[in-house]
Amino acid sequence: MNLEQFVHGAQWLFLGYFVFLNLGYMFLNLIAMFSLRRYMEARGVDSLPSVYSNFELPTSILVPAYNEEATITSSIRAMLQLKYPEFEVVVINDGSSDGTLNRLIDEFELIPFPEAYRIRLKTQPVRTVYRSRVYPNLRVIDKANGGKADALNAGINAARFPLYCGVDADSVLQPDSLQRIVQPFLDDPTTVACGGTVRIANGCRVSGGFMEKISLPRNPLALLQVVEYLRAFLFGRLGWSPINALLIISGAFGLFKKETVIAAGGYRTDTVGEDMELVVRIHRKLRKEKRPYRITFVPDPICWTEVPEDLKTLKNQRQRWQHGLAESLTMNFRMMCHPRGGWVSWFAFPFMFLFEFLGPLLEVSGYLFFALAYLQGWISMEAYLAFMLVAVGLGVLLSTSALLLEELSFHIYPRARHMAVLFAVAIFENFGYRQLNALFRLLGLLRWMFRRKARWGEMQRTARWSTPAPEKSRSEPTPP
Amino acid sequence: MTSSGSVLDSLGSSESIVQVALLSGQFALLATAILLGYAFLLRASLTLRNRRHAAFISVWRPILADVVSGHDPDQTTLPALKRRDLAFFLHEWNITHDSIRGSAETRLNALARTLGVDQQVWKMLDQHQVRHKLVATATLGHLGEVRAWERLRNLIESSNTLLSLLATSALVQIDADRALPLVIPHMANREDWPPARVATILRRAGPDAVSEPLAKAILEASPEKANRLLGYLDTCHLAVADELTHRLLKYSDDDYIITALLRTLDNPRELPIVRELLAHERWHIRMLSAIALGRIGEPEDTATLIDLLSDQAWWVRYRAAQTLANLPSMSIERLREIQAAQSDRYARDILDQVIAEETL
Repeated sequence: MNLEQFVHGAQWLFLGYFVFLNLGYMFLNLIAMFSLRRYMEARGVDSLPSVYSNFELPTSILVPAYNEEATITSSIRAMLQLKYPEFEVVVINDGSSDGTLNRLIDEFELIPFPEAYRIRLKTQPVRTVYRSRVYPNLRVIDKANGGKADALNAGINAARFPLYCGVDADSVLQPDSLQRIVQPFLDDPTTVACGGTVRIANGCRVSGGFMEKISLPRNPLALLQVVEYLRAFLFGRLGWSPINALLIISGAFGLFKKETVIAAGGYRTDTVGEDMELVVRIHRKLRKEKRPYRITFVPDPICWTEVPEDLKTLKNQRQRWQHGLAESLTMNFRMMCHPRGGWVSWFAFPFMFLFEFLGPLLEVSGYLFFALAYLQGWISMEAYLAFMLVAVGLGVLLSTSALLLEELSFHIYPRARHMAVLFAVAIFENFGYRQLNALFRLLGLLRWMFRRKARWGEMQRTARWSTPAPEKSRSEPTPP
Repeated sequence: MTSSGSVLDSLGSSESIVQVALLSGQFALLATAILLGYAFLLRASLTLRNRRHAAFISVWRPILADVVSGHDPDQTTLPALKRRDLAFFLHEWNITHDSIRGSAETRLNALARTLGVDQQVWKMLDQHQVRHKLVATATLGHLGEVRAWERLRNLIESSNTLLSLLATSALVQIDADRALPLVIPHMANREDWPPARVATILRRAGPDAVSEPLAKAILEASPEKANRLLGYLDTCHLAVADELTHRLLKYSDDDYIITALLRTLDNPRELPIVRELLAHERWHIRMLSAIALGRIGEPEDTATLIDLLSDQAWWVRYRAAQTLANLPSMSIERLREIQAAQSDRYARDILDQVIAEETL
């Protein structure tokens, strides 16, 4: 192969990659649009007042916590006030080295409790189980440090109810979060897991752990992530859900059938992306056993989280995500094109592998190749610009279509000015931010290749949006 | 040969790559421009809609509140309902209807008829948009529109879950006695109908209407379908539920039916069967039997419950310990005595936990 043939081949490869990647996402976008339309239709009629019935499944909220002393009490207080007939909150203190446990003990009047703790999933030793004197539905498991997955497994061991909801300690929930995310389990008894849409809390005002005022972040990096999250959740997840091929449920807020997770072996402690790995493994197990099941997603914005506002934290987060994705896919590689795997094996898994796992490598190589080829005179200026037009143009198209989905559905950002800003962001994120992200993810891929293990994701949190709960809520606990 | 050769040649040329890239890029930009325009149109229409809604609410919410609080609608003072406000009106009207009972419902229906909404709703039922059909179905149910019976009856068969459920609910609202024998078999057959919504429809119909057709359907159904219907047993009269439970417990050996019955069972005459079920091979039946024993058991069942403290399943031990702790004759001291007498560590541990719960 001579240089000319190599350059031609490479041009087709990278051009083909960008076109097919975006065609794939456009296909998901169409599915998401259709499914969102049906969902919104049903939601409109369902907004009539509903009566609680005893069919709502009791749910355990599991909150793994590691060095969360700054936000843990307001988060837990908000969770205790969720609108739901029967639920418990189980906080798992994973050997925090700060004052997380003491804050919890003081705030919720915890006392040691001789619980006959069942070890159904193996974890690091549990030191003490606490129960609150004030809230009968609050327990705290204090255990030796073992990572988030280990903490979640301990929480599953302690959970009393058939469904459990894994929630990040810093997540801000809507009061009706549980009601919304439980709905698929009521509508279809074969549902084994359900994820919810996570939105960005930076720039919003949170009081007492609940969202009070929604606005856009002022920090440019956080603002860029607003469009990215819309894209990821509104069609990245919603597109996969109707064909039962959803491979990711965010660790920030996801509901699972406890027995299904235990039967699958719980969370793996040797991976960074324990949330994705579990979902892929559940697909694999249930498909293998030929059991009917659904892993689904509710598009309602039910959980809010803080995103990084500085490049260093963003870089760490994206590296960790890519590392986790790589582990999840390679650990379950038998899913790839498995004869019994359906849409998961023949579409979702190969798509994730080609465009998410290898994506950063191809994307960064593509940009570098075209720049180098132009500088070396292998391709013309026109060819270089045409490639950039494809890469940037299709990126803008995808981001714009995510914003359109938002406009067709929830209108979370109330002012027209907000949408105008977001449309501007959808264009400008393609000039630098997207490329930077691809680079961070490539570094994550390299980290995975060299097997550098990561544990709890340490994030620089500002929590500027959060104000403490009003004092009166202390004396007005919502009974379970 | 020649033609495939030329395709390959063309693929190999720089111009063709550039052309494909330019076309893709132009397509992306054009599509983006269209989406942007559409999104801005949507936002403009939303803003306009919000304004209209605010104007609608300021006029009609007081009228609806007035009607609900006891005033009959006065045709001479009512403003005309603008065509564009029909959707807002139906939304408000249905929400209000869902939250009231009794004579206020009659007045609300009179208001809708005075405004001619009932006629509009018939047209909506014929429209293709599912959303219109849904709203029309809910409205016809609230209006108790007997003439819609056949149309709604056909909609029960709809593959759209929500539409079929709303049609069921509407039929029950129009005439529960006539509707329930018709819809209960569907409740057993339709796996896509969420039990919580079905239960809401049955509760709304009331036990007088539900008891007989539900009991009949359960007795005639296959075990799988009977199991689904048993979940609604608490919507029947207690006496009917009791009699049905007695008959099924006596003659059914289906685990799922037994499980469903144990959850609601509350009559001491079932005590012998419950005692037998404490030794069942499935742990969740032993657990539910232990709980049932707490409701209908006698002092002599204490020994059986103590035996269950050593069961191999955690939930059976836990529920047995809780039942034991809640027996009328039980005290913390007595629980401690029982605990001290246990040689099994699991029995002692579970009592430790339950004693701590009781004393917290």
